[in-house]
Amino acid sequence: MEANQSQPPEKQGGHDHDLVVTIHDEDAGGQPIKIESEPASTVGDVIEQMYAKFKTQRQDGDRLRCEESGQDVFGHATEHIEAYAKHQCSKLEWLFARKTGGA
Amino acid sequence: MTEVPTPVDPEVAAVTFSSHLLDFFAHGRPTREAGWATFSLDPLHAIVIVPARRQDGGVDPYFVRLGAGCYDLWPPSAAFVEPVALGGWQESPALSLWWPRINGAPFSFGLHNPYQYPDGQQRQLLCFSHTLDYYLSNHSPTPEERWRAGTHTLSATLNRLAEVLRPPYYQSRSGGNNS
Repeated sequence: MEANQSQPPEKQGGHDHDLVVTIHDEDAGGQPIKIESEPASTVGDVIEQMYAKFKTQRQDGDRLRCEESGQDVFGHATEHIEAYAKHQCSKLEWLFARKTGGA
Repeated sequence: MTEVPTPVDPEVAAVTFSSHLLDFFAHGRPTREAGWATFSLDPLHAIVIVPARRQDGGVDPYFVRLGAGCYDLWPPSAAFVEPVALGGWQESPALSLWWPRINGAPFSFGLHNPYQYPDGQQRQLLCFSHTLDYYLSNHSPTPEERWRAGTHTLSATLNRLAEVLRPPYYQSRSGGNNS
């Protein structure tokens, strides 16, 4: 795995405040994707980029959670990513999963 | 994909199964959480040790047997199992230490033990759309819920199990001393 859980969100050389969101596709597995975002970007911007990278669109029942808290990410779409990282999900590691049937 | 699961070429299934299991252990939850392990029973079956996290911070390991007879056109079969004499494994009965008590889930999910299958068998059903057994038990997933080869892998199966085997959903082992 590339991200280190014990560290704060990764910062990129040359862009001191860029944040990197690591997203694990829980359905497909494989290496996680990484999305660089400026602090002024919103969580929704990152979600949009995530779907673009996965080459898909949001579907009914999709779930996106912060790994450390289990909290839903979609509900924070309007927040700036820096504030979101500070108050909600400091490691910026997300888990993506599509709808599951069962009972 | 046909409506009724049928076995696929066993050599193809074994290669795909092995590859996806290796991938899960190389890039998935086991790289971020302690307590995961796996070993092969034969080319189409493996035991995965899945750590359940208790409210008190302790960990209860469970043995999950995955089967790849129809993989990955269909999901792997999945069952909680326990060791028996001579190196064998059996499906865990409902009051076994090796059968978890789970209350609620953040997605559609159920554990039934035993479950009466349409073919007359009575055995466990880990009832969610990322196990083969779900499709053998007359369930009708929506298009969004249905297993899609190429999109889903056994990572989906193991990640969903890991998700319910943690607070607030995981309660305890079913049998024995739960303290």
